[in-house]
Amino acid sequence: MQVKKRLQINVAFSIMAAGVIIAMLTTAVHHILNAVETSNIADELVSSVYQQSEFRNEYMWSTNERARVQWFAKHEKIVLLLQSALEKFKDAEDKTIVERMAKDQEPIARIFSSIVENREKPQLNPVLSQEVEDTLVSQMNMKRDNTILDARRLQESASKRLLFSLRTSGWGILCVIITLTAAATVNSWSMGRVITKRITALRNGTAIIGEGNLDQRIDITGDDEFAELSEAFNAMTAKLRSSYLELEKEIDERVKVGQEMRQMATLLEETQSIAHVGGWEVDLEKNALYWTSETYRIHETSPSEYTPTVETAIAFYAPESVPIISSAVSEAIEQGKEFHLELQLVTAKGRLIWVETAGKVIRRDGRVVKVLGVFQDITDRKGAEALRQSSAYHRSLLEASLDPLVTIDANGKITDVNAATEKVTGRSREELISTDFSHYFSEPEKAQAGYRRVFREGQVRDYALDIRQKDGHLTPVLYNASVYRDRAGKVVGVFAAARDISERKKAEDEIKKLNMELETRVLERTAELEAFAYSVSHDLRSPLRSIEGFSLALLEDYAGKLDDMGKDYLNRVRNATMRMGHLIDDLLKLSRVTRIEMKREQVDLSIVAHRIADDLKNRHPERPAQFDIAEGLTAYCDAGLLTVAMENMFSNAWKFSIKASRAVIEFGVTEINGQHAFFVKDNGIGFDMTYANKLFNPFQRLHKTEEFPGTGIGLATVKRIINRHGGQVWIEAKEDKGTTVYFTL
Amino acid sequence: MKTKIILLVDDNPDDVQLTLRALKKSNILNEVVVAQDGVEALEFLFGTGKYAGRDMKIMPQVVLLDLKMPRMDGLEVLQRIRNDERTKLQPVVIMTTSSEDQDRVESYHLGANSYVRKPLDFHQFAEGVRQLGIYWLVLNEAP
Repeated sequence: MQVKKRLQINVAFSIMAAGVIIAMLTTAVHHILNAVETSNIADELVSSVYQQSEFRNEYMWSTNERARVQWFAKHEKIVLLLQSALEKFKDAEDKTIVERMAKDQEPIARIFSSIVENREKPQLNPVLSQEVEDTLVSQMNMKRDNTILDARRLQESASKRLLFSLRTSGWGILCVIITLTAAATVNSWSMGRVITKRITALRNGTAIIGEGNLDQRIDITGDDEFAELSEAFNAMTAKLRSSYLELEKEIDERVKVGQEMRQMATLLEETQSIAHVGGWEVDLEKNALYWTSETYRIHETSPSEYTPTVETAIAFYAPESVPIISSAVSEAIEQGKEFHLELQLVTAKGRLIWVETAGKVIRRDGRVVKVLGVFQDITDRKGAEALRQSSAYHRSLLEASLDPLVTIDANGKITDVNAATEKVTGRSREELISTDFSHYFSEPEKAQAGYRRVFREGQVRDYALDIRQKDGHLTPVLYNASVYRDRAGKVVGVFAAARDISERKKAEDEIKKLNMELETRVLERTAELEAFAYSVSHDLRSPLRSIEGFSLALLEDYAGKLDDMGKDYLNRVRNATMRMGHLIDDLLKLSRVTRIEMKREQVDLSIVAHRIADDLKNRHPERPAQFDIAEGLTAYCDAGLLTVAMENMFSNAWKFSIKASRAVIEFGVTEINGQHAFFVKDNGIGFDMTYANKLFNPFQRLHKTEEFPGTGIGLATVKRIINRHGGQVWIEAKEDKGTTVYFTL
Repeated sequence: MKTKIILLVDDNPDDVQLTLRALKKSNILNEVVVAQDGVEALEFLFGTGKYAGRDMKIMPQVVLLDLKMPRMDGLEVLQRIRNDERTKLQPVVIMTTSSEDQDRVESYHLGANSYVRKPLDFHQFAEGVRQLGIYWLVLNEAP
């Protein structure tokens, strides 16, 4: 229930109470008045009646006219009183009494009148008159007593009523008051409790909210003012909260902006400091000059030591620079003219430096209000300019180079090229720089592999690549590339120089072509030679056979006709022809060795040696011979040719060890200078090493034919065969101790 | 008795002489017809030209054929011999100085029955001839 309502109830109660009280009071008063009135009347009646009685008595005593009149006056008064009493006395009983009384008055009056009459008429029988008078008086007395009784009853009743009224009123009012008070108290108390409770809740709620917990809601339900209040509070809290959140957000924004601004400011500071670029601003309205920290630094002073003003700032400049900067600043202020100057300046510490200052203006409403700009120490740059002259010299050298030069960074991107590179790739500098270098080669992967190798090994020489021009035309080049480092020694990239080998390639191709031609010609020659060798051998042999045959025929058929000399001659002839035949055979074999196509395979040389040894033993079973052949010796070679070579070596060993009591021929392998070398060793006659190198020439012999037959072609053949295999052959011998032929394959 | 003759085809008179001598020394006394080149050899075998009208019933027991000859080389003669029905089965022994593998292989390819090299040493040669003679004339049975 609403407090208001409660209060209204209270008020209503009070009003009601007041009304009731008033009513009651009014009633009471009325009643009291009435009672008083009636009491009065009753009193009056009583007194009147007594007075009447007095008057009667008086009359009786004195038969006073005045008394009679007063008695009748009184009578009238009593009647009047009784009339009013009739009105006034509400009670039925009373009313009855009053009516009785009233009714009695007439008789009383008549009685008195009779009395009076009696008195007035004394003549008649005085005694009777006295008796009548007495009777009348006694009647009157009776009536008067009744009246007085009644009047006293009325009085009683009236006063009883009065008391009753008073008491009732009193009690009634008291009750009302008590009830009211109780009701009011209860109401107030309950109201108070509710209010207190709700106020407490409200207070607690608001306290919590007040502490900052804007999510707290006051939980007061109902439909009274407190609920409304709490609703209002909650709404307010909610509103507060959202406002707070918004505020927070805005604050965060502001803070962020502030941070960013601070970051920016720091960045600005840092960049200025790193780049050694300062800023300055002349505010014409405030007539002030602001410097950034870098500007202070360049001047070699600080805000605590010096406050910049336009005049004093200009005073820093060297004497010859002062007029220039002065007029520049003036023109800027007056005409808004921008300036960009390189001047000399003396710092606060007395150092003479070169500075670059540039300024521009800010206008408002067409007037110049600010002049601001940048300020930089360019002493290094001025010094660097001198360097750049030399740098330009170096650059011109690079550009003059005929070899395409290129620098590539650590990511494989071209950082610089010279004119020769532009020409050889058919692309401009701008097209080439920052692109992937491997893109311009016909084999990009090979280019990249070379690039990686440069990093790994520090350099790469004569790395062959083909540069691909824009139109697709290829230029073969050899690259010399190395890593280059910065001043700290860290590898920054690769510097590569290409050597155009197209001419060389062309020459090489020519050579190759010529070689091929040569080869073909050689083959042709060889074929011709083959045919020649063949036909020669065939053609030579034929007459040889004839010579031999007929010499023999002579010897056999005409032996009788020949003397010893003759026979001797013929024998010589025969021997000569035999020799010639061998020569032809050997020549043919040698030529075949050169001609024949080599087919390399794994050949077990030990088996070959065994075969040759067995063959020798079979052919000359009478000779004691021992062959020591190492087993499992294999080589990658042409089986046929190696067989021929080994046959030659073995036959030589066989031949030259004929003088030994027992020929011991060895075949094995040994290690010479880290290489495997096969050898054929005999314990034969050996030879003087002085002539060793001649042995491999065709037909070269170191022994007489009579001692050791042979054409001298064996070793030449062996040499040809071994050389064809890319190996070496050499011979070692000791006179009378034996010979060893070594060969590698 | 059927006459067993030998056809010797060789352009070298010396070689012919030596061969004949070798045969004699080996006691092979059969008649030897000598053709000095391939053309003559074929003329004999087919009974044409110089040998027109000869008794064709008499065919050589064996033909000793040299390879290197003018006008018609031995291999060609061999081919012709093999290509003709009349002489297809004629035993032919190539006797040559050539030691070339290709000659040997080609000869067999073309159907030679044997390939013998003329050695330089006459003794060897004679021995070879003797063996040839004995084999072809005595041991071997002609088709």
